[in-house]
Amino acid sequence: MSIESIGGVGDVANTLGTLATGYGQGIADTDNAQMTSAIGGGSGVSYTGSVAPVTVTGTAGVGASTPVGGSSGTDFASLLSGGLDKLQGLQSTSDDLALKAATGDLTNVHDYMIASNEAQLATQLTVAVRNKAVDAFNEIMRMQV
Amino acid sequence: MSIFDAIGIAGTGVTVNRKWMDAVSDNLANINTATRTSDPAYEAKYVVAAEAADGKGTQVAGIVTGSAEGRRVYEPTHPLADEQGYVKYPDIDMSSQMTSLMMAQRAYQANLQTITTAKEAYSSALQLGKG
Repeated sequence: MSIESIGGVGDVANTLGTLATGYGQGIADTDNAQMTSAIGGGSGVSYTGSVAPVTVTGTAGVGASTPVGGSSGTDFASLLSGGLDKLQGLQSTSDDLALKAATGDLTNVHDYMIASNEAQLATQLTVAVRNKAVDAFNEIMRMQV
Repeated sequence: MSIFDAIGIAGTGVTVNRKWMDAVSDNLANINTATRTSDPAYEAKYVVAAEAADGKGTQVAGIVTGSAEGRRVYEPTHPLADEQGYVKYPDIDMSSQMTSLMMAQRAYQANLQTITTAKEAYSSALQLGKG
């Protein structure tokens, strides 16, 4: 489900592609943010440093509205499928622990609660991202041509 | 998943404190365990916490046991008493064990509160996408 494949929308689809690319880079950068160094006695510098480029990249990409067309950034479809894979992993962890809880093999009660909470949050996040993508698509389809 | 780091780190803290409570409950359960003076007494268990290997959270580095020396108590009617009428009880201080238990309980709850707060923060972030 590549958004760029929408036929006849032209520049608008490209703009959305730019938006998605900027968004993808934003998420990729956040993944690389040095959470460990920030916790392990590091200052907030690395955190600020990683956040600032995200804002700049996102704003420039959307504001300029220039077609990116096959850029090296992560496209939205692979981003979404990667997110679904991670969600699948969290759900299966939660399911395993639920089975252990039911059979009495669970040693840490909180482990299951944490896993189920994480799975729930990840599901909500994925659904929110999907809804936003569908909203954007519908917005384009409503556009007068 | 890196976005759930806060929850995962707090989860390791909860695990360590649960094991601490396990050790304290073991100590309290054996506080009246009498042995022969020739045998070693019950050795109190102490949980040693250390930073996790990957630097995220904490873990139990090991269990250190206390002295097997115990304390000799004069109980001539006890079936395990020796010729002089002494038995051996473990050297465990009830009040310090109870204090440890409460500390473990509070630390457990504090870590759970961290999880709850992180979860609420993430849920608040999701509210941005609605409406």
